[in-house]
Amino acid sequence: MDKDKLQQSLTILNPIRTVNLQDETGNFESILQGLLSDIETPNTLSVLLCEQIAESIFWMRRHVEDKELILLEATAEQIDRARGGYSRDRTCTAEDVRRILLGDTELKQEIDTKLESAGMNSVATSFEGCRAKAFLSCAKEIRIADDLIQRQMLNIRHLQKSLDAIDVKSRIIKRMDLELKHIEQDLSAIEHDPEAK
Amino acid sequence: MTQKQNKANQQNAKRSTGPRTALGKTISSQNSVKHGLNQAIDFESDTRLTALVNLLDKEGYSQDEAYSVALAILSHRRVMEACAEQYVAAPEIYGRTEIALIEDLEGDIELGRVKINYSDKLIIQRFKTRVIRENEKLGSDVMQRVKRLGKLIRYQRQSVSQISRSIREMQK
Repeated sequence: MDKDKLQQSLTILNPIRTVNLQDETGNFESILQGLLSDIETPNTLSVLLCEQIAESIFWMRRHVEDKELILLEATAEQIDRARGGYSRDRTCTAEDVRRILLGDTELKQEIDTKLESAGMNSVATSFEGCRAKAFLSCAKEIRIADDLIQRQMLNIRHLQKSLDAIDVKSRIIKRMDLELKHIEQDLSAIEHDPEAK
Repeated sequence: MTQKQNKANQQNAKRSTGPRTALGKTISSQNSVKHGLNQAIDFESDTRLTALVNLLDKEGYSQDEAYSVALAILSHRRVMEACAEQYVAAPEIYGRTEIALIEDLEGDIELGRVKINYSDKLIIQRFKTRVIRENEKLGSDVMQRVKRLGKLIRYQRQSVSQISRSIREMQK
C-alpha cells in the first residue's frame, strides 16, 4: 500500500521537482521517499510540500553535523595551542577529538600526558580543560548553528501544518465524493427497483 | 486582532534583529551583492510558475489561489537555493594571493636568484604572522559557512510564512 502511494507521489513529483540538492549521500532522496509514502492523498501541492519538508530535514541534519564539527575543531585547536606554545603546527585533528569522545582512552591519556608536560602551556592541562576552553572560544558560532537548526525545525512545523490542512481537506472532499456516489447508487437502485423502498 | 495581541506584537517588534549601528548597516547593505535576496525578482517569466499554476488549476484551485501558492513556493526555492550556494561557497582566506607570491619569492631566494636584506625578511615574517592571526579570526571553513548561513535565516522565515499564508487563504 505504501509502495503504491510512493509510486503515485513520485509520478506527480518527478516532472515538477523544485529541489536540486547536490547530495551524493542520498540522504535527501531517502527522507523524501519516506515522507511521500505517508501521504494519504497524493496531489501536486502535497508532494511539493513534502519536498520542502524533506529539504528542511536534510539541512537540519547538516547543521547538527556542522555544530559538532565546530566543537571538534575548536577542541583540537585548543589542544594544539596548549601543547605547542608558540608553534603553529597543527598535530591534533577533529577526528582525534571524535575518537576520544567515542571512548579512545589511550589517545586521551597520551594527550593528557603531553598537556601536563608541555612547557609554556597557558591553556589547559587536560583534555576536558581544552574542551571547556573550546566551548567558550566558539560560543558565537555554536549559537548561530543552534539558530540554523531551530529555523529548520520551525520551517518543518509550518510546512507540516500546511500539509495537514491540504491533506485533511482532500480527505474530506474524497469522503464527500464517496458519500455522494453512495447516495446516487442508492437513488438509482430505488428508481429501477421500486421494491427497494 | 485583540488589543492584547497588538500590544504583544509591538513588544516583539522591538526585538528587531537587524543592524543598528552605521557600520552594521553598511556591511548588511552589501548582502544583496553576495546572495541577491534583497532584490525583488519577477517570476512571471519563470516557466516553473506557469507549470505549477496550470497543475494546481487542474486540481480544482482557482487561478488566484494557484498563482499565490506557486509564487510562494518559488520564492522559498529562491531563498533555499541561495542558502545552498552559500553552504558550498569557497571560504574566505586572508592574504591568499600575497602568500602565494611570498612562496614564489622564497623559492627564488633558495635557488639564489634573488637576495633580500634582513629588514625585508622581517617584513615578510611579520606579514606571515599577521596572515595567520587574521585567518584565525575568520575561523575555519565550517565556522565561516555557519556565519554566512546565519545571515539568511530571516529570508527563510519570510518565505516559509508566505507559503503558510497562501495555503491558509486557500482554506478559507
